[in-house]
Amino acid sequence: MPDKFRKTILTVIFIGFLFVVAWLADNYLDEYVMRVVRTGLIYVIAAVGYNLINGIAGQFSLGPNGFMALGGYMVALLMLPVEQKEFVWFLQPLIWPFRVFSLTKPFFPLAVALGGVAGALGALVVGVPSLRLRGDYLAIATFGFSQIIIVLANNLIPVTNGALGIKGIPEYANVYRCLAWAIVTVIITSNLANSSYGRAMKSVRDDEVAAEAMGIPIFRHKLLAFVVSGFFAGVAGGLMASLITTVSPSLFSFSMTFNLLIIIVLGGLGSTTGSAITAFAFTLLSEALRFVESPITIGPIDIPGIAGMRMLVFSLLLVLLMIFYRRGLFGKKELSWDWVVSRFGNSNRQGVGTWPHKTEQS
Amino acid sequence: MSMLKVRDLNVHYGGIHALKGVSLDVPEGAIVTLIGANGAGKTTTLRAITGLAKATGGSIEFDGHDITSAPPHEIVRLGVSMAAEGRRIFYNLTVMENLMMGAYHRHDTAEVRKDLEWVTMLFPRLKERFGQKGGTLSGGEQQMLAVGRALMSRPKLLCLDEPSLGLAPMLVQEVFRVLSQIHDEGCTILLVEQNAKAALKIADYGYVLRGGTITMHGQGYELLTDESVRRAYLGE
Repeated sequence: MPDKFRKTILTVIFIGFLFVVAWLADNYLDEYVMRVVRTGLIYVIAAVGYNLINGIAGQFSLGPNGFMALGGYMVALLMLPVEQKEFVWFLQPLIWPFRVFSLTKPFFPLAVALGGVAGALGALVVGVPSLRLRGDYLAIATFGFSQIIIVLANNLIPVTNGALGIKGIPEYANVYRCLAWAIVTVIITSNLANSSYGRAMKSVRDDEVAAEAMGIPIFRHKLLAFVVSGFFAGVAGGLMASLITTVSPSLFSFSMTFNLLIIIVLGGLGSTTGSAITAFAFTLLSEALRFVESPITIGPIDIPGIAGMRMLVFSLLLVLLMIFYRRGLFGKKELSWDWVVSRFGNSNRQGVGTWPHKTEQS
Repeated sequence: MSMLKVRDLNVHYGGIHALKGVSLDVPEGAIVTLIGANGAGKTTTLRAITGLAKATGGSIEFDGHDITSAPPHEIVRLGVSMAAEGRRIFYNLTVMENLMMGAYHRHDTAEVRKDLEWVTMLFPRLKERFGQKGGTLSGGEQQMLAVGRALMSRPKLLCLDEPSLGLAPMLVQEVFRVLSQIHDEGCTILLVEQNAKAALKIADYGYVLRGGTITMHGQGYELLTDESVRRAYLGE
């Protein structure tokens, strides 16, 4: 088994490689493709964070769209130039202090982090009362809270400008920043999942009563997972706001949560690797599948363009997966250096098993 | 000197009065068993002691601390640990990780490692299965894992709920053999069992529960030879 140091070196090299790929893509691919790639990276952040509460801690939350909205509005309020703010809030003035200042480009990462903090605080407020519930009840409670956030976004005009949304957010979410945040998300989440906190979260998922009898403060661990998950939802929302340059309540509707749920179930609930890879693939695929919504002519048959056909493809995929491959693409497994080395490295290292047996995670 | 003192314990589940004034003592170093039919309140008594069920009346004192309304994690920290009924293994954690969950609140890493060795010596089968997921173990192995996991907190008092439930006779013997061994090494045990005969054989003292109250108590061998106990619980 490669030691910790070697793994760290490998990880650093891999991250470097990803940035080189990102640089190449940025220089040689067109704007449209890069937009899809950035969206994909943002989905990676949201899905990996969502997987922490749903897959690793096993608490069925339906709230990430609400927390993404918190992050998105936070970044919008912080980054929108002051003159643009006067222009956007023409019905009612924006509340102080956002009215009088805005952050410049170098502070964009800070704004995104604060977006994450907004998401985390939201998760804390929602989590304290609702994480005492289990299963379906928790799902309904978190769904309710995320709807409340969206309703507030629609009506709290002095902060959110209501249904009109906020336009003209500077587009600072370039591919490098999105990639950096995605890497930070994956590293923090997988380290957390492999720590003793993570093991406690998994034990709560597997058997809450036994975990409680073992002396694990279960509520505290659920809340930790929920808040960290809320943080990354906020980060994803913030980056998305800057990518699209506008935010409105409809951007963060419940279908966002639904997409993320599809991603983490397809990828394998509880697998960070699965969530990350599936999130990226899902975004690329949903762009690639746009053709099914355009009018198609097959021989004598004319099929008019039907909006929403792409979701049909995903729904079908989900049904097939549930029938034939219930654990998702990755199950609960993770891609780890141990496995990569055992597969592709020189084979003189002993004791490294094949993938299903020797991964270090759940 | 009694390590665990339960006095006039009452527990309600919704409208059901499950325990109606149970009093019992567990002296340090003893094996005490609770026997009784289904629904007599055996499991509820254990759940109340370990903090998983709320006492609605009476008191529970452990090692001089009042733990009547303490949360489970504090009770575990004081030295009470439980292997719950039905094994309740963490299916997606490895055997090793399952065992480590038992030592969750401990920070003395070196001692934890020693205990890990001790537990795998008690249950050699667990060592063979170390990296395997808990869910892939057989029923007997899971039971051993549940007991081993409870031991990993190095408890002063080990509470066991039906450790022989659903096991083949050979494995039942194995479990009871290990219990005597653990006891010889100085662990106090409170054992809830349906298998009254095997339990009373190794117990120093026994309590018979019926309908939420204690109807009889005495030395293990006294109960074992008592006519009414034999008829009601030993099937003779």
